[in-house]
Amino acid sequence: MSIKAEPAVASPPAASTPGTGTYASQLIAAWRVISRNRLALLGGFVILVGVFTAIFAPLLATHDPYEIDIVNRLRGPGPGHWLGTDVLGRDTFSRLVYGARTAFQVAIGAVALGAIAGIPLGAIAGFYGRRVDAIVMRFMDSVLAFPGQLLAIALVAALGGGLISLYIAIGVSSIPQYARIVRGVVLSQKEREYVEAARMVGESNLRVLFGEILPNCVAPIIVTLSFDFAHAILIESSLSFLGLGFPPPTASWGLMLKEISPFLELQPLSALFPGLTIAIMILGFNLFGDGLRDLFDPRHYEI
Amino acid sequence: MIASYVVQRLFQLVPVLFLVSIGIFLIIQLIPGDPVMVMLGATPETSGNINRQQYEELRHQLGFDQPLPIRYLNWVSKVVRGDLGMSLKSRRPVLETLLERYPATIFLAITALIGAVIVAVPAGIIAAVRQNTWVDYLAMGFSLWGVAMPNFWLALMLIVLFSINLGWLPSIGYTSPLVQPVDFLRHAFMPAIVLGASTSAHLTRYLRAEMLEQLSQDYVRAARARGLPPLVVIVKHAAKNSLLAVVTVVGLQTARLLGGSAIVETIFSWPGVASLLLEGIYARDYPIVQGAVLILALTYVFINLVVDVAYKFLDPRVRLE
Amino acid sequence: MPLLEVDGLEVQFFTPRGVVKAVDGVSFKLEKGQTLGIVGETGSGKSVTAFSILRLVSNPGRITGGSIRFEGQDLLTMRDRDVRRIRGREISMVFQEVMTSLNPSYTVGEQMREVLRVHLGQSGQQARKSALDLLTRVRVPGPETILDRYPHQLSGGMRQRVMIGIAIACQPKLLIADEPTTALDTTIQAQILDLLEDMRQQLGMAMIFISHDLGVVARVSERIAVMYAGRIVEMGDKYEVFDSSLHPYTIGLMDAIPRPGSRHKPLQPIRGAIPNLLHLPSGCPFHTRCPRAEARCAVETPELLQWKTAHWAACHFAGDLRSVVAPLADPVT
Ligand SMILES: Nc1ncnc2c1ncn2[C@@H]1O[C@H](COP(=O)(O)OP(=O)(O)OP(=O)(O)O)[C@@H](O)[C@H]1O
Ligand SMILES: [Mg+2]
Repeated sequence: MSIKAEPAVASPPAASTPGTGTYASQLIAAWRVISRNRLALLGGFVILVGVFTAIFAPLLATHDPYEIDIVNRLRGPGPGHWLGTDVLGRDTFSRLVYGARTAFQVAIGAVALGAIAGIPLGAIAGFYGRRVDAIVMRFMDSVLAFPGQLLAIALVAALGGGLISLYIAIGVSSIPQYARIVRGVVLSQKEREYVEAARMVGESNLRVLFGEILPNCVAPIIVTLSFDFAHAILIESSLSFLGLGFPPPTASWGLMLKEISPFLELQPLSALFPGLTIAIMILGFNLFGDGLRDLFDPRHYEI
Repeated sequence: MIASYVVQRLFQLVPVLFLVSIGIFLIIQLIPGDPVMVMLGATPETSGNINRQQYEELRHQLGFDQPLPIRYLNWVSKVVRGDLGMSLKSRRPVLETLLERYPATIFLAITALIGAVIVAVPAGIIAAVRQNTWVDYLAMGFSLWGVAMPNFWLALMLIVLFSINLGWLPSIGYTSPLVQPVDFLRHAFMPAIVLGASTSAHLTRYLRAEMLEQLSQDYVRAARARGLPPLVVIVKHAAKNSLLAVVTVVGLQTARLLGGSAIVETIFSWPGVASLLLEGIYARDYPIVQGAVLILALTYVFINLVVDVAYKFLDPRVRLE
Repeated sequence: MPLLEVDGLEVQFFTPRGVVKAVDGVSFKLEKGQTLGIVGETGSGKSVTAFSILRLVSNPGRITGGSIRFEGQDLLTMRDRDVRRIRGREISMVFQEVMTSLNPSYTVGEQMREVLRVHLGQSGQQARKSALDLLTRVRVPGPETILDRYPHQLSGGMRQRVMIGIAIACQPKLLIADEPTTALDTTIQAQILDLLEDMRQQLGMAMIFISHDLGVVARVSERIAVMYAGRIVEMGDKYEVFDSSLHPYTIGLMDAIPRPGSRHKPLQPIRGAIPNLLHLPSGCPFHTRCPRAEARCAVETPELLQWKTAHWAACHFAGDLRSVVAPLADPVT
């Protein structure tokens, strides 16, 4: 990943430390920004823990997440079950651990779908302009005409459950974001000299697009990816909570909350932990995204 | 001028509305397998038990015996005339049900928005003015948490606290604010908090950033150099311009409010269109689903139009062009 | 008692990359009705000095040393509310940022009346009338209509006139003009300079006039201070500083401006780049660019010393330079 230091930014002359241009010093500057931003580091840490948990779920879980134990239902936290049990006596901690798998499985697919569809659409719109641009962007507008969560619900309603339809339901609403970012960068880079020059020497449009323009989109896309992950995890859990995601007995954070909600009086703590887990995971991605945005924002390179 | 701007915006809306209508039309067409069977609640194994006549009737009512484009045209021309079809379950016109339940959604969304703004405006301004003090950290901490917290979980926690433990507030029910305003507020209190929390968090963050931006502007420095008191500089000068910018995101925030209302209305048994949408989904009542999605999308598009126009009107740089 | 007395002023910016000494021990005096011109390249600390006088240095900057006395009172230890009574009333400022120093959301009239209201307690018709008078005074054509205009509807020159009108609203004793013409067209520049000079004479104000343009400064000021890297390197009577410069930097600046009499000579920009205030060179901050630099310049920091009745300079060779001014005017190889 390359960090573009915007040369055109009006920085006070005194700000130009010797060697700002070298890659190494850029990395050092980047590291300084990141390490100063403890919240971003915290976010990165939360994400790492989440990914680690999802991958090594079988090793981390203390119980079989699907093992029913009616006698021990709705227990509070204790030595046998660290975070207590649910309505069917299943171990909350183990279900949360496996829930990370579900969450990431859906989020990765949905985010990928949004980015993979949105990036080329934005590039094409920006690069060809005029008619093409108008058509693509009207499509994006019409996606945006649906409030995101509503679009997901409507799509799931139409497509039915299952992993693929969750990918689509959640991913579609983020396509416009990627398209807009890439289109914006393409439009601003298109007129720059080096792109013109590349065209002059006869490079094909496609090569110019991928070789010269897209690298400039990397930073804003990475930032968006981080926020999009948070969004995908939130929507997945919302859909599960509404009973529109994976069917029971899948270990999904949203579904866990749905299952406990009629029994709140009996064991409110069983509702506490899944919600905290979702919130912390989303917080992690948001903090990390904020940190990345600060990092990539050229203004932050100035003194 | 404003009028021509409105006309221009309406023109831009035409293709969007066209695409939106196709999208909503497709909700039914996308149902995997035989939509008619699905709507009759049949699984592949039980499809043999379905009443043949009932099947043909529904198939005809939904126009599935005609080619897709024709079906779309028929559907659209009916929708434009206000005919959204019949609910499969209640056998009543969809439009009627929608209109019945629409006010509850709007009242809740407005209450949530007002609450969100009441919290966010002072919080964002104070956080910016006291940047990097504990007040700022507190406000930012709350807003980070408000954005991250899933609304359905907040709902459950509030119910545990206010309804189960303290017994102060009802966890379900609705009365119209036009009839019994106080009772409405009692019922709307928790749903509005849940619905408005993330909006409030976003607005706080946005306003704080915008306020910091304005406070660093030359005109603020110039105003201070003229000896104006801090309150005048902050509120009359910087905050006014920040709020102007915030108006632009209020339109986008209604997406959050309308999208979130699906869950909130469902949890609190709030009789609005968003909970109607889910009832429709659970009951495979697709005409209801279509109608509810349509009305929510139109509301959103309309609010954004209004906000855009309002913004043009509020900013003298634009108004006096 | 001088009107304004700045003594050893130090302003530092505490940035993530380190501490920037934007102003490093600046001292000068200003008598009632006098004009002082401050010149220097961009980043030399002129604006920061000006803002310090109104105590308007903004984060991450802080005034870390020195004192600023206005009519004998120390502005730096004064209570906030007392400083506010001085700002815009006793000391006014006109800014370089012509296009952005008025709030875009309020009419010109409102922003003028505001100052009259706060400082003079005027309101209603009275404030409107005063505002009209002020606009007439700063020679704004059609003042009645201008009052109800928004800033974006006015040209740069017109806005600067409005700004000057606001600045003189309370008949201040000191006007600080921070590059008031830099952002304007050349023809407008001259008009604004004339206006400032007229207002100054009519109201008997003292003025600090900041510019990086020696020609402009020479036109309006009696005394001149040359700033470099946060310090005053030469200061004195206008003719002294111009005609018998003591500091190589001043000489360099003069060579950098085209003069009618010396058209045959190519323009000589000062070689080298403005130093990084984060990593100032040791000794004399100018030694890295100075044609006369010797070994001691990299070690010893020269102090601002008085060489004549009205002439100060901070250079180890100021004494010799007096005699070699003429030869030095030629390009030094
Ligand atoms: N907000 C800030 N943050 C960090 N450093 C600053 C800030 N403002 C000013 N400085 C530092 O103070 C130094 C002096 O700035 P100042 O604005 O006084 O220069 P100037 O002489 O007015 O230049 P110009 O001719 O461009 O107006 C700058 O070089 C810069 O390094
Ligand atoms: Mg300046």
